[in-house]
Order: sequence, then C-alpha cells, then structure tokens
Amino acid sequence: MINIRFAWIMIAMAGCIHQTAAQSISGKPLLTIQIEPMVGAKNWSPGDTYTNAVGESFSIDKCLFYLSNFEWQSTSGKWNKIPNSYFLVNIADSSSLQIQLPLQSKAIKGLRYMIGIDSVKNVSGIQQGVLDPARGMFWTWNTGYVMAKLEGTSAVSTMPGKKFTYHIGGYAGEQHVNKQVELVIDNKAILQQKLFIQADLLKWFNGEIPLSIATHPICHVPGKLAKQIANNYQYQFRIKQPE
Amino acid sequence: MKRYRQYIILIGIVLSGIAWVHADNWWEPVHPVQFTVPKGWPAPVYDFSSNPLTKEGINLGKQLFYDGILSKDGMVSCGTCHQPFAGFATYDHSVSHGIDNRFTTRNAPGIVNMAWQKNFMWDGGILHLDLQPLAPITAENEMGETLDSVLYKLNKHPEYRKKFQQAFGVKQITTLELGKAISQFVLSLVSYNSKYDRVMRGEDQFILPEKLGYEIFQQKCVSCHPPPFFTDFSFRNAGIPEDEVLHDKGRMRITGKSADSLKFKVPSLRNVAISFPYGHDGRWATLRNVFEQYRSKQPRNAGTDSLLKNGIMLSNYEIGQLTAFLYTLTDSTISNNPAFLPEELNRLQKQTRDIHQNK
Repeated sequence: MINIRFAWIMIAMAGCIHQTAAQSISGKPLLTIQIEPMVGAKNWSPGDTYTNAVGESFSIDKCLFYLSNFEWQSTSGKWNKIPNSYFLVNIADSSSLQIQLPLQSKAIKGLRYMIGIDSVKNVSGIQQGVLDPARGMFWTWNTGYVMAKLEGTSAVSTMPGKKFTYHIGGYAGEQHVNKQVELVIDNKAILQQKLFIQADLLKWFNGEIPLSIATHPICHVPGKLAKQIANNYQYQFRIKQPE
Repeated sequence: MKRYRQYIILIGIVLSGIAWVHADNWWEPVHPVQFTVPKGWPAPVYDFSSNPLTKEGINLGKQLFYDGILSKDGMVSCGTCHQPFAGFATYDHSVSHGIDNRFTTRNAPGIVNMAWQKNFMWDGGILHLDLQPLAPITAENEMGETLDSVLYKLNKHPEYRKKFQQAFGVKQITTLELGKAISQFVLSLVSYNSKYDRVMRGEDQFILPEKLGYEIFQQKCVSCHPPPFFTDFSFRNAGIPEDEVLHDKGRMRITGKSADSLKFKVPSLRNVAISFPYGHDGRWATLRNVFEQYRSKQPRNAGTDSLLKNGIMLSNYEIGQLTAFLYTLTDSTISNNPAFLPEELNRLQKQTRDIHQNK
C-alpha cells in the first residue's frame, strides 16, 4: 500500500514540476520593442508619396530587414548578449513589428543589434524559423541572406512598371554590409516594458552618398552599391520619446 | 482486489503519460547507413553529424531527386539535367534545359563525390550541399518554382508527409528537411569503382594505351585534375573566349572581383567519357575538341591561367593515349546502378529482357 501511495505522490509531483517549468519560461521579464515604419517625419503608408534628398518622388510597397544579435547594457555599463536573437521585420506585417526580448533586468542603458545576419549563419547550411530560405530573404545562387530589402515605385525609375528594388546583402570580406546599431536608452522611454523605435526608411536614400532612383533603380547583388545603401540605412533607427 | 485495480489504474496513467509526452516527437531513424570513405581518400567535408544518413533519408532523397514536383510545371526534376547514365551530368546537350523550353546558361556537371566538395556550381557560389538544390528549384530558367510552393505541395502530399516523418521525424516539412533529404541521396553517389580505381587497388591492370595515357596524364594534366577527385576544386580561367550570348563571367559573378572574370571550377574528370559535351557551357562536343583547344596556339584572354597560357603541348599520339586513360575513369557502379535509379525505371527494366546480357 505504501508503495502505491508513494507512486501517486510522485505522479502528482511530476505534474507540478511540469507546470512550474512552463511558467518560468513565460515568466522571464520581457522588453517589447515596437517598430514604427516612418518616412522622414511621416508614418509610412503604402501608396503615399515621399521625396528623397535628390528631389525624386517615390512610394514604398515593401520593406523587410533582419535585426539580430541583440545586446543590452545594464545600468552598470555591462553589455549582455541575448542568445539566438534573430528577427525578420516586415513593415507590412504588424506582428513582425513587435520584437520581444527576454531581459534579466528592467533598467537598461543601451541596446545594440545588427542590421543583417552574422556570417556564421550565412555559411552553416539551411536554417529554420525566420532564417528559413523560404522566407524569401536568401540568395540561392550566391549563398547568403538578403539583409534588407526595399521596393517601391517612382516615376523616375527606368525599370518595367517604374519599379525600384534594393536587395542588400553580402557578409564576407569586402562585400560585408552588416551594420551594428547602438542606441542610448533613457529609461523614461520605456513605458510598461515597451520601447518604441522608429525606422526611418527615408534614410535609405538620404545619407553620405545620396541614392538616386533614376541612376540606380535596382541593386540585386553584393558589392559597392549595396554597401553604399547599407551605409545610408544604418542610421534609420531612432528612439521615440513618449509624449 | 481493490489493490489490483489501483495498480492497473496506475500503470494506465503512466503509460498514457509516456504516450502523451512522446506523441509529438516519437521517432527513430530506423536504418542508419554508414558513409564509407574509400581507402586513402581524405576525410569528407560534409558534416554527417548534422544529417546522419539513413536508408529512409536516402530513399526519400532519391524519390525527390527524380520527381518533377520540385518544378513549376511538374516536368523538370533534378534528374532531368543530372542524368545517371552520364555520371549524373547533362548528356548530349550543350546547356541544360529548364521549364518552358528554356535554356539555362550552363552544362550541369556530374554530381559524384559531393561529400568532399566545399562549394558548388561552376562558379562556387553555393557554400553548403544542403543549400544547393534551392538554386535550381528557384531559378526561373531551371525549375521556376518558389520554396513556399514546393513546401506547400510536399506538405499536401500524404506519401511525402509520411516519408519525411519517417526519415526526419517531422510533421511539417520545411526547407531544412527538403535540403537534407536530397543531400542524403547525393552523398550516396560515391564514385570509386572505375577501372582506374581497381588498378590502383591492385585488382585490375591497365592495357598498354591506358598505361601510357596515365603517364602522360601525370605530366600534363594532373596539376589541375589530381586524383582521387580529378579536380583540385580551384577556379581557373582556361583562356576560352566569352560566349557572346551568355556573357557568363563565372566566378566573378560571385566575388565581384575582375581578377575572377571567366574563371570556372576545374571539373572532375570522373565519368568524363560518358558526360559529353564539355566545358561550363558545353561548347565542346568531344574530348578531341577539348584537346585541340588546349594545344592550340591561338591568343588567349588576358586572365588565362599561367598553366595554360601557352597551351599544352600534345601530339596526336598523346591525345590517343590520354583518351584511352580517360576512359578508365568511367564508373559503371554510378552510371548503371539500380540503387541510384528511379524505382519506376527499375520496375520497368525488370520486365524487359536484356538481350545483351542473354538473360
């Protein structure tokens, strides 16, 4: 009889352990980053027309980019890596605009991440989840991720359908386009564990070397132009201070 | 009695608990397959620990390899261009053909001994064997498909769902399992049973022209085509003019460096006699054409490899002996092996009497 009772207790305990394990995963403090796609000072909206630094008007249909290798800085100044942090942001998919980071502290001084995918993940065969090549952000003929993608139309484009398409990639040597973003965070910017970051897509065009759609309506290979565009868009992120 | 009932209930709970825990991921690769490295060969490059070979995986990969389901119109499979009887290369067509009567820009090379290769394609643009099939599947002039669509078709296909579950323990097929399955079949194509291999193992002997050809080969060809793979896997500019229609710059398309213009991967010579035509765009119909190109004194382009800059001195006699030697690289355990052929073909062949074998 004692043995049977003991077994009943063990089963009950196993059930409890199973429960707590599930809770502790979801119970980790989370920081939600809400990304707001902007073009200059305006919110991005499909079909709206904007003007770049060289005076060309355009609209944006599509924009996706990878953000990865997140790190956060504690109030003591120490940087902490968040393992396996890979996110694919699609401005047209509201769920992808929310990034949830498991953080061990509620007070943070800074945030660091990469626009793109580190070289290791580029050369290690087929990945899964947001890194699955089926997500359409992968070059099959020249192994590597498309780190960021911007597509739209402009009257000045010489391509069919007046389209412009910028697919930016390259992870190795001189073709490297991965950009490190570092944001200083004032804790007042975080309200109820939520931080708003604006992604200003106008920065793709306006930067050190302004991008002209008439001159370069497409970029589909790694190289000089891709690097130039990545140099521009690396400055697209800014913290939105709560009103 | 009450006690027995308690025991039975207890055992019932434990068993159903186990079943519940394992219901989603209970799986065992039923028949592991050992990958054998031929004696004296280097260690393979492919990481087998990430994709252990199984009978189920290899068979699934073979079925996918010969199935038009991977293409947009259902007509083109991997085996369309990688033909077994040509050592898994494109046979008798200069450039390989894709969907809608379209030409690709290159002649599909043989795909044996892929476990030892670091990068793939004539330009080396693909860095992992598992990723390789994704390029022809998605190229608009090859299979013209999207990965989403292929995965949709496979996930809707009861037989494939079952076979992927058996081989990889997954309910939902993703790009990863698709790539791994095809790799498993391709990895099983190890060519090491040609006459050359048998001679090297002391199981056979060269006849005189083969022996003389082997000696000439050692002097004039081996620096780019060293055994056991008969390629050094390097990219070289063989000095052949750029095609005026294709404008294929080879390796430069990948690296973006002008120094890599017109460089292509040195092709393996295994099964060379049965895999004509030759060159990255299949421009040479016969081995004789290749030898003529290499011995010609015509001016070559600026970036021509130093080993070929002045051509290779070859007499007609030497060409004859070399040809005899190259024929010894044909491996019938690759080109005519039921294990590597589609199951339907094997069934058909069993029904047909082979008059040459007098069976």
